[in-house]
Amino acid sequence: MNKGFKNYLIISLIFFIFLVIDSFSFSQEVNEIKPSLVLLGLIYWNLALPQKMGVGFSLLLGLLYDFLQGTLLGMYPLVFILTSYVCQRFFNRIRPMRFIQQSTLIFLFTLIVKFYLAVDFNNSLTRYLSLIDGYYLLLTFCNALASAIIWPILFYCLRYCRRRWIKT
Amino acid sequence: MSEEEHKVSKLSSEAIFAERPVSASKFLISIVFCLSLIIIDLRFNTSSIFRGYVQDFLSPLHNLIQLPKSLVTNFSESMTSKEELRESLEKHKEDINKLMVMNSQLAEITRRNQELDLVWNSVQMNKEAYSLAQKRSLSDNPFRPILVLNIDNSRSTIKVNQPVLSNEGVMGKISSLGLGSAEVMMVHDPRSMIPIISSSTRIHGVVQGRGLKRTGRLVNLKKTSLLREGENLYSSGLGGVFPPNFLVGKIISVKDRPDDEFLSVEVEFLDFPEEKDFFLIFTG
Repeated sequence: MNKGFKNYLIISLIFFIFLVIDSFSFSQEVNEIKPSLVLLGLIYWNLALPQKMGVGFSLLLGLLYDFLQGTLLGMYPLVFILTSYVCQRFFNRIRPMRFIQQSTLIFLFTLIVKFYLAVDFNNSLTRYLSLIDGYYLLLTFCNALASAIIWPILFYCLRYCRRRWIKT
Repeated sequence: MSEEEHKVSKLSSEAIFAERPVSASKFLISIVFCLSLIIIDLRFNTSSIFRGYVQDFLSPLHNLIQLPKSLVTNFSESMTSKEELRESLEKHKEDINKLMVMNSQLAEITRRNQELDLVWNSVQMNKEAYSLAQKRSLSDNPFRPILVLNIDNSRSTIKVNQPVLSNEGVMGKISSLGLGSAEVMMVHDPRSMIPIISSSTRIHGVVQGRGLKRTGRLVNLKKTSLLREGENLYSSGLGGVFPPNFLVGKIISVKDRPDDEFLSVEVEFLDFPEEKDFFLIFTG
């Protein structure tokens, strides 16, 4: 099998597993707090293998995520493409950072993404542009914290997969 | 060293191990494409045309997602000890005895209510007007909660905008239809607007969702309205989408804020259907 194709297949399989895990339904609070593994995975692969991750991949992944999450079409592709761009643009600065610094970045990034997802596009002409309330703020903070905590674990797992199965 | 994999210095012919970031033009085109998708979907609601079909396509994935849950359930059932089963059996026997006593009372009540039954049957809607659908998945997006139902639409009776009901009351309406699946926009969705009537003060209004596990609100209600906390809200049937007299929610707070133009009324919706598996689609 072609080496490049095999690599793409493994990366796609990992994203498929993440999609399935992200779609598990728990109680509503847990659903809002649990970190998005697809987003974290995308950040990892864009930092680790920027030459292999294209915009098209992020776009397709985002569209699939849109359908699974029920969001407005184009919301997640926009997030994923921006994530890819930022990671690929600054991967050489982010890679040498310590885990605590990377986790802080993940925390801030997740907060921004969650705030963006709460924009009320349907009622954008009213004075309330956002659907954020106190409850959402609390859960968003917990979600960002969970993402920051899980990042080092995910990083090691994905690095093991990359070293074990992906040939560059 | 291949030039395709790395840049090569023109002076020394050595490889430059610097990865090129994604090209700015590709990135810009993608951003414009995504923004166009958002605007088109907002303006024309295009995605609702094919979302149902995409859910058909994604049904194996949903089955895969349900697999661990069913495995855990089966495992816990198989690990139930004989003693626990015996206890459960005893409990069921007790329940049966209680029900038999209640049934003997019911026979008398049934006889007395035969007259009322006649009236009830005259206003009862046709059973054929309801179609049963099984839940496939429930998205956890708090501001656009989507319930996906398995449907059998062989007779083409199910259509977009038909209301979806649970045994408690109104749950939402069909927003997109596929061959074997239907996407339901829940009442908790901020896009959802349901015409209602209050149970005791008989005031008409429109209730809007504000997200999962969040209270809804009655929109544009006059400050002179005499709504009371604890009142139930039923669908009024105005607008022709939702059938009348189905429970939508309950008023939990009525506030008259001096800086607001309208009365601020918070509504608690029916429980979120995490545990429910079957829903009724009103096709009448």
